[in-house]
Amino acid sequence: MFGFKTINTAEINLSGDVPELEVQLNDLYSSMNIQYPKFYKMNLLCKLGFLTCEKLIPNDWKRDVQPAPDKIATIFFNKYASLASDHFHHKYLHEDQLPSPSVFVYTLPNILNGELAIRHGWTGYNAFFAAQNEEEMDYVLHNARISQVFDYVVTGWVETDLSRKKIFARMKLMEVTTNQSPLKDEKQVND
Amino acid sequence: MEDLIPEIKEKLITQLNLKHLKPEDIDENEMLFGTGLGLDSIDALEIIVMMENDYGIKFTNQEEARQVFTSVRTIAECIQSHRL
Repeated sequence: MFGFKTINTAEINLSGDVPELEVQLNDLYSSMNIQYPKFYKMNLLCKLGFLTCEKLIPNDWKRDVQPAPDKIATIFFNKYASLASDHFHHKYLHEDQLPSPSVFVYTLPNILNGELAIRHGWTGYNAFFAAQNEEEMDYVLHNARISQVFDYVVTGWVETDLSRKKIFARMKLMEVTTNQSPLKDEKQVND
Repeated sequence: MEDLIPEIKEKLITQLNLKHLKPEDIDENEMLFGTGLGLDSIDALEIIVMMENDYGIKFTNQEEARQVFTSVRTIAECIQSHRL
């Protein structure tokens, strides 16, 4: 039997046109006193996911728990994948310009998993799923745990919905539990 | 050629999203890759695109590009030589 125990949650919701969203994310980055210049190179999806993850991971968690880097999974979901960056890349092609390599490299949503792996040194299982709604998350998460071994998972919905001028991320840091007496608020699955 | 140096610094900051830097933070003789500014392979591709779009310079030889991209000054020298 295993289940998931939530250690922490974090959320960011922003709205506006792309330039406004860039300013809001850059301001948020500055306010969090992070020194990570590569942040400025990221696309909206990665900036959003990166900052939400910074809020998610408690300062003392790594120090106290010292989790094995290869036992931390990152599993994310959204509906529109990397559509925002795909759109920018398409615009370059449509305007008959040489496409920008730094835009093209973000035309996959799972680049976020890579950015977080680099930032935190995590080497465990990682995946980014395009899903219709958040109800699919539990199903995928439990099945991922059945086929992959990890002790902790950073998971959540990370969306850049530019058609509605909204970007939002809801993340959880969860521990895989193998306790014999199930907690009420945890889902238990036969291993 | 000296007038090209601030122009290239501005372009690098814009094209490579080096928003944590100001032009005066970049030494024109500093290594762009490795120990200097610490640019990566995607940045190199961006510089190649910038050189083609903005200055009409195409690189077909990897070793030539590697030498040109050593520093802001070597980029300026390359642009200047293509103008002559």
